[in-house]
This record gives sequence, structure tokens and C-alpha cells, in this order.
Amino acid sequence: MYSENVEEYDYMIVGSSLSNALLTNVLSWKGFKVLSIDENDYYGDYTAALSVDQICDQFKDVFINDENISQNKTRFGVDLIPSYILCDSKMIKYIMNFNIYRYLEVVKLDNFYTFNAKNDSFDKLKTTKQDIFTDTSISPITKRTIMKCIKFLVEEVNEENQIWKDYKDNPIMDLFTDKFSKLPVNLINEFVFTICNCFDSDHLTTKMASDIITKFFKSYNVYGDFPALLTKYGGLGEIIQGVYRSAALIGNVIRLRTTISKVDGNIIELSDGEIVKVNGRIIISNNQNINLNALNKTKLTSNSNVYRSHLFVKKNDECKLKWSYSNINGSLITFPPNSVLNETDVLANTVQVMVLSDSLERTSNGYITLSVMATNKKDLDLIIGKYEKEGDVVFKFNYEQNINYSTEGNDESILITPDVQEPLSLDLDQFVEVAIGIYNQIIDKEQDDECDFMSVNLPSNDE
Amino acid sequence: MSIDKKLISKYIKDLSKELNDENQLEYHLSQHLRMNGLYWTAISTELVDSTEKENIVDWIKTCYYPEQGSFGPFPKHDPHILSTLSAIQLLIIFKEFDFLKEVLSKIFGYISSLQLANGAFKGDLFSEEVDTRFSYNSLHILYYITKIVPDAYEQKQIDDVVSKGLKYLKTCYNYDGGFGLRPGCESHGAQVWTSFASFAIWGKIDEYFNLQELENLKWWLLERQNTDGGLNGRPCKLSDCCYSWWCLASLKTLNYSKHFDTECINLLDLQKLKAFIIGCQDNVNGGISDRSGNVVDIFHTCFGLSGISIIEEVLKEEDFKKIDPRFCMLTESIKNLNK
Amino acid sequence: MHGVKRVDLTEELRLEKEKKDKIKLEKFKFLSTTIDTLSSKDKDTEELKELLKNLDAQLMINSDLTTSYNLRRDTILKLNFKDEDWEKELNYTTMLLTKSPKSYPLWQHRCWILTQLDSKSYYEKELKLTFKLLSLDKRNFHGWSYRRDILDVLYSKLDSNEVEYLYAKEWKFLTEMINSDISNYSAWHQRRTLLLYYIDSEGGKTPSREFTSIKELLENEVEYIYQAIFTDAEDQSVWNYMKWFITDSKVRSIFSDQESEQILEKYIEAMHEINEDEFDFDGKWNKWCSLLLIYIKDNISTDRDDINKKALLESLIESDPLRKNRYKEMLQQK
Repeated sequence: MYSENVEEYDYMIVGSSLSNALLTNVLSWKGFKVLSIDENDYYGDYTAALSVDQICDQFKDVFINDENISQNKTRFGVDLIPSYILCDSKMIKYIMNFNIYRYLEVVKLDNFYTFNAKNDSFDKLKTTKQDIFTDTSISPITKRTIMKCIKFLVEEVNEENQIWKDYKDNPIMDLFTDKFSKLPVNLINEFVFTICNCFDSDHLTTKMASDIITKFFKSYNVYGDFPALLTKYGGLGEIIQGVYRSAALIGNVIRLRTTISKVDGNIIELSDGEIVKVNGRIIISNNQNINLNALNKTKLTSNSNVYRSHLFVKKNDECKLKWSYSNINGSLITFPPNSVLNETDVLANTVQVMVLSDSLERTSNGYITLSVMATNKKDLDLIIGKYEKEGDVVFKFNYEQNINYSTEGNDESILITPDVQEPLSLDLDQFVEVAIGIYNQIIDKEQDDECDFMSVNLPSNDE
Repeated sequence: MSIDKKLISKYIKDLSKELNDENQLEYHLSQHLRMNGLYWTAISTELVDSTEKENIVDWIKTCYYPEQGSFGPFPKHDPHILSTLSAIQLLIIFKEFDFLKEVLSKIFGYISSLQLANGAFKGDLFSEEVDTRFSYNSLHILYYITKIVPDAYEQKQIDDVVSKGLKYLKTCYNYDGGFGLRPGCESHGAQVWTSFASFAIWGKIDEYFNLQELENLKWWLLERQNTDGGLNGRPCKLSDCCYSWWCLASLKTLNYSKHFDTECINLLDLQKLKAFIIGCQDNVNGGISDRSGNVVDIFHTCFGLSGISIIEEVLKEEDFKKIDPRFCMLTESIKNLNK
Repeated sequence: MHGVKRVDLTEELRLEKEKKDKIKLEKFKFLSTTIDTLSSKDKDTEELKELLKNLDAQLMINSDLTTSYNLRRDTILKLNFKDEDWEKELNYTTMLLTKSPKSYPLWQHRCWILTQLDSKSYYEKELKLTFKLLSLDKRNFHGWSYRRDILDVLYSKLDSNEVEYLYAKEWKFLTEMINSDISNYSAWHQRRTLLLYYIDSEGGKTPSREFTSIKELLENEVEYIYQAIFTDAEDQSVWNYMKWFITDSKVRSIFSDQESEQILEKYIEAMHEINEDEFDFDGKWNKWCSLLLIYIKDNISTDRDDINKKALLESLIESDPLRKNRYKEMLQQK
């Protein structure tokens, strides 16, 4: 059935999620021949940025109550997974190393806010030395505790420090209770739930928190005065497309709306009729349902669910939310667990809301995007309810994301890629880490080698 | 653990080859520092007992300005006090005393014309740049005059320049115990050495400083050691191998005051400092850098080795020749002047 | 070389670097020869301009060539520079400064240019330049000392209102610098200079209307230091400043003995409080609180019973092992 001169590939990568895109690009620049396909007609797989048009195709129960939106569906877009880039991060390193920045326009995320149930307000993140030094409302000894705590988590990370040794593998909440008892509750909430994006504080160890907080502080004053960046226009989708453009420079082209029709050993027939030979492994995303079936693989079982909702709110002067979007690009609002919204409504767990302004041009002018993330449906509904009361919600769709990170079902020839470890973390580095993990696995590296993954000699355009 | 002397010799050999080769970029880019570089090379060579001393006296003569007794850093470059002191130190190292005597018999006029009314020194006659480094260079050279050509000038002439010079240096002393580039400038490790060593050279520490002032200086210097063992040049800065000379030698120089009888440098963690310097040696090309893992150069090689020499003298490990903390010259070279 | 990482170049990159070096080398050699030839003869205006152009390029490759700056100044003086030429010279050196912010002869050359110019507007521009350079490298001591030089010059050139305005701006600049980074020792150093200027100035000038007298300014300083030691008790910058502040006779002369005593009391209490907090945390006292308490007992307030020098020194041996010999020596001296 197959002629002798079928096209041969080193690897086949199915699904164009951000981590698969990052991997495809690295392998291509390392000289491997990679075949990339995606069964969807858009880039990004489960990490896609979709237009309202595409959302209506993909999801049921999309609520639209606005003429402008329903008539201009392609002018409104949403990131399925909202995220930011920290300024001193692996993602930035990748973007710089592979010249992806050429295809991106980034702006700074303006601030993080933490809901303070005590006085029904939102506290602006107060963690720079300057904020703390100049704030007259904090007592001197509290200043001392805050600074000491930050220093401890950022600088005292060494095995010679007895306190670090005692606490690094214990929940960070224990450290706060035992060693920083003067730390105000709102500061603890900021560290744990806002900066660390934590939805399960029992499992956030001092070491894990220290890593995240350190990265966060290192990211200050790298590009602008806030540590996190957002991409304009298509959000996460922009990065994915940028990465594929980089791969295209070396000849890798991704084929969208392409599925596997037939498999015979390492000979594969694609839906467009082409027959190819794949010598190395096939890397497939757990969300590529059609292609998984064609490979005789079943979707990995779900480990947990995440509840997400995306809303468009009309800007208007009476809107109670106004503070969170005036003159800014975007902000992140965190509701810590047990937040009392009103007498009857109490959140069970953390809820985070990414607020994006129309200055990012993901919507037409006059709209704000709110992306809500929660670990249970009730919490999600409570927050949506809050916003529906406070603002003019004209677009809404909710969905439940199944997260899988088991590695069962993999074999010598097929590797089903895990979803990110921390599905609710907003820092894009988790995708880079997944890509590095797969890279090391297929290149047969014994140790995690970020250096090798990142080092590629690109043709230089300088001078 | 110790410095690999053989590797140092190899580094110096490779460097000299590079710097003698007109087809190397470094040959050209280091011209403005060449005379100083040769002095750093010579001291490094002496410290590791390398026998291969390249005779460069002929070359030094090509940088000489006979009317003034001054030297430029490179042939055709203008004379400057920085390169003049280095040239004179090289002549002492190479024991070229005849030529040295000729130079020293001429140089007083040059030095006094560099001194301003307030006692400060300029670096050359072409600009108005004032810096305590230039005071040090001038006062250091004047010391050689009194030792090597004592009859060339009237002692009073020299004493006047020296006391005016020291008086000025005292105005660069800061409230925190250190010295700055000029009066009012922030304390800086290298300026501390150039200022304070000048007082020590002329045996005038206790005439100009009371105990409290010296205690402040001691405090400032002791705080220069960072947890990595290295010394920094100013508060809240990273360690840098060259301050293993500037700050350590200053601390050692405190012992020239009558107030301190126990070794001041012993108040630091010398083992940790030594380990820091050793960590700065590049185990491939042999030189020493400012910090572990950085690019090496002869400046840091010289001052890293000089620092080690002081440490070992005090720890009585004495693997290196002794160096005089006031001059950054071998102790025996300075002693020989007195003969 | 300061702070340049050692790298192992791959063969490919090494060859590439060699190629680049070779080009640079040829360029430098050519420029040096041209400059030698040009400078050794009598020159007309065109040749002087030619010489300057070659020096431009040569200093771009190596901005530490003292001799070339000497020649440059000579040449400039022969050329009768007009305003726009000076402007160009300033821009040229600004460009070099962003490339080599630590070059001594370059800063010196910049100073020289300014001495050739009369207008005080240039000096104000210079202050802005140092502001920019200092925000890139907060501790560049060339930048700081140049800034001081310029302020000195302006002091002599401006009338008293202008000076006051300028110094008030300087005070604000320093406060912002320290607010954003308490560990900026250079800024604290400069703050002290400025504070002394205000104490010495006639008519009780202050840097801001919020202070109606020197005393109010200093009271504000007492609180500023107080907040700073709590915010960053590990940082020696603020402690050194405090050590000076509580010792300095000029500062003390503004307060009555009783007031000075109260300030000292406030600080001692703060240090005890920080020490206690630190002890709860890891069983050690704070190094700087301990050092300052000992300093106060030795030099300012010898009769205080609440400062136990022996206990403090013993704790310093633990908390600051690098200098344990110093504390052991002090214990013996008692």
C-alpha cells in the first residue's frame, strides 16, 4: 500500500497547545524533522485563545445579550486559560532566545488585588520595600515582620539555615503561624493566594512558595515597575502563533484541521491523504480526541476539574467595578478561601479573576473581560453572581476543564502529554516546564536540562 | 587548597605573549594601562617566585619624558603620575638604580607642579582631575627620593609638599571612617588605601588621627567582608578580589599606629577570605578574576596574590614572599632601599 | 574586567569573535596611525576637524585613552567651538558615558567641557544626565561625585532662590532614591551632606514647606531613620547614617539635651524591640542593633544599665561569625 519514498519524520507532535508548540519549535531548530498537526481549525488546543465566533461553535450555553457582540463575533476574543508572563522567567528567556518578541506586543499587568472581607474592599498588593517603608499605616514592628518574611523566603534559602531546613517541606502556613505570627492576615493572603495562585494551601510547601515568591520579586523592575506582563490582542494565542512562526523559519509548518486516518506501525496516513513515516515517538495532547482514537489510545482519566467562566462587562460610570479597570491594561483579583461576600455567601476556596481592559484590544472598545477561575461550581457561581449584581454582564460562558496529569497509557511509540501540573497557576512557565520535561524524555536525558532546551544557534540578524 | 603558582606563571607568560603581539586586539586596547599592567605583572611574577623576569627596561625608557622625569603608559602617550609611579616601581624591581637615580633627581619639579594650593594632586599637567590616587602616587615617589637620592633636594622642600599633601588627604576622611575620591565623596575601599597608606608611608598616622577616628576606620574596613568570604569596596556591594588588597592592606596598615598592637587583619575571617581568592583563580588559563567564574585579568591577579601574601604572613603559612602593605612592593625590595 | 562572566566559546563562536576582533583591530590601528600623522603637523581647520573625527572613532573603541582626550581638548580649543559644536560634544560624551560609565578620563573630559561653557542651563542638564545614569546604576560613584561637583558649581553660579530650589529638588531626589532602595549607601551619604548644608545655612532654610524650621526637618529625620531601621534592620546603610546622626555635634546642637536624650531613648527602645523580635525568630539578637547599642554605651550614654555590653558581644560572636575575633577582642578589653 505504501510507496518507497514516503516522507520521513523524526517526531510527530499532535495538538498545538503552548507546551507542544514550544517543543516543536525547539526540536525543529535542533535539526529534527517534526510533523505537527492539530485536529482543530485553530491554534492552541486546550490553551487556545478563541473568538466569540469559535466559542459559539465549541461550547453550549453561551449567553450573549449585546447587539455589538452578536454582530461582530470575530472582534471579541477570550483566552481559555488566562495567564501572565513574569518578567524574569523561563517564558521570557524562551521568547528572547527564539526572537519570539518580534511577533508580540506586551504591556504590563497593572496590579494584583486581594479581597479583604473585613472591610469589603480590595487591597492593592503591598510587597515592595518602598511600599512597606513609606506606608504610614503599618506599625514599625509589622514592617519588620513583613520584610523579614520576604527576606527569609527570597534570600535565606539555604541548607545551613536551620529554620529553612525545618520548614521547607512543610506547608508555608505553618511557617507563618510559628515564625511570623505578627504578619497580618491580608499579607498572608497576598503571599499564598495572590502571588502563588494557590488553591490548596495545605499542599503549598515553604519551598514551593519560596520559589514562586522569589521569581516574583526578581521580576520587579525588569521591564517596568510591575513583575508581570500581558500580551496584547490575541493573548496566549499570540505567543503560540509566534512560536509557530519561529518554527516556520526553519521549515516546520503546522497542519490545522488534520487528523490521522490510518496507522500501520510507524507508517501513518493523514486525513489529507498523505502518507508519512515517523521514526521517533508520537507526542499527542490528551485533548486531541479524534487523533487519540485513531492511535487506539483512550483519553487519560481526569484527575480534577477546574471551573472557568468568561464574562464581558460593559464599561459604564456607575459600575462598581470601575476601580479595577480604569486607566489600566489588566489586573488580577484574588478572593481568598472563606471570604465572606455577604451574610449568606461564603467562598469555600480561592477564586481568582483576571480583569482585562479593552486597551488590550481583545474586545471592541467599551468592554471589560473578566475570567473567573475556581475549584468548585458553587464558588464560581457566587462570584459570577456578584459581578452580575455589580456590572452589566453582556456575555458569559462557563466551562469545566478536566485536568489530567497521569502518565498511564504511554508506550514506547506514543507519549500522551500531561496537562500542566498546576492548572490554575497563571504563570506561563508551567508550560515551558512541561515542554522541557517532554524534551528530556524523548531526547533521553537523565537530568532535567533546561540549558540544552533553551540553547539554539539562531541565525543572527545583528550588525 | 591553595593558589596554583604554576598556572599563574603560565597565565603571565600567555598574557605577555599576547601583549607583545601587535596583531592582538588587547595589545592596542590596553595601551593606556600598559605601564601599570607591567607593574602588576612584575609583582605577580615576584610573588609566585617565577624566575622568568622579562627585561623591559629598554621599553620603559621609550615611555620616558626626560625633561620632567615622568613616564607615559605607552610610547607616544602623554606622561601621567599613574604610569610614572609604576615605571619607578618597575625600575626598583629590576634594580635599575642608575637610571632610577637619574629619574628621581629630576622628578620633584614635576610632582610639585601637580600639587594644588590646597595640597591636592592632579594626575597630569593636561587636565584638572584631582583624585586621592594621585596624592598617593606623588607621596609614594617622594618617599623613594628621600631613600634613594637623599641629597638631590632640600629636605624642607619635600616635607612641605608632604605635609600639605597629607593635610589635604585628611579632608577626604569621612564620618564613617573611610576616605573618598575627594572631600565629601563617599568612602571607597581603593581610596581608603591610597589615602591611609600615604600617612603610613610617612609615619604620620598618629599625628593626624585620634583613636576614635582610627576605630571608625577599623570598623568600616571590618564590615567589608561579605558572607562569601570576599571583601567589597563599599557597603552593600558584591565582593571583589581586588579589595583583598585595598581593604586588607589598609587594615594591616592600621598596625603602623601606636594604638593597635594585635594584628588588625586577624579580626576578619582570613581562611574564608583566602578561600574566596583561591576560588577566583581560573583553573584553565591560570589568572585571577574579580569573582569566581568571571573573566580574569592581570589587575585582579596581582591584587589577589598580594592579598594572599598578607594573609599567609599573618597566618604564618608563608608560601608567598612578603609584601609591604603601604607600597604594594615586596618587603625585601623596600628594605633594600634602606641599605 | 569587573563582573564579566567567563564563557567557553564554541569553536564556531570563537572564530566569529576572532573575525570581529580582527576588524576592530585593523580599524583601531588605522585610526591611531591617522591620528599620529595628523597631530604631528600644523593643521588647518579642515585637518583639525578630520583629527576630531578620527578621535571620535578611536574613543568609541577605547574610551579610556587619556592621551587621546588630551589631544581632543587641544584640538577643540584650536577650533573655536560654537554653541552647537559644544552641544554635539556633550551628546558625543553622553553616548560614550552610557557605554563606559566607569571611565575616569571620560568623566574628566565631561567636566572640562562644562568649564568651557558659561550658561548655567548646561549644568542643570547635567544634573538630569546623572539622574538618568544613577537610575541605571544606583551606586556609580563617578556619577555621584560628578553630581556633587555640578551642585557645587551651580551653588556659585546661581542666586540664592535658585540654589534653594535646586537643593530642595536634590532632597526629593535622594528621598525617592532611598525610598525605593534603603540599601543605597551612596544616597544616604549624600543625604547627610545635604542635611548638614541645611543645618549650616542661614535663616533656617529647609528643603520643603512641610518643614517650617530646621528642627522640624531633623524631627522628620528622626522618624525617617526609625522607620528605616524597622524596614531593613539588616542593612548597614541606615545604621551608619543613624550612628552619625546620634553622634554629630551639629545635629545635637539643634536639640536640647533633653530632646537628644529622648531621641536616643526612642532608638534604644527600638533596638531592644528588634532584638527581642529577632530572638523569638532564631534565638539570636540582631547584629546591627547589638553593635549600635554597644557604640552608644561606649561613646554617648555610658551610664545606661539596660545595655549589657558583655551579653551583646557574646551574641555577636554567634550572629556575626565572620568578625568573631573582633568581638572576642572587645570582650577582653572591657
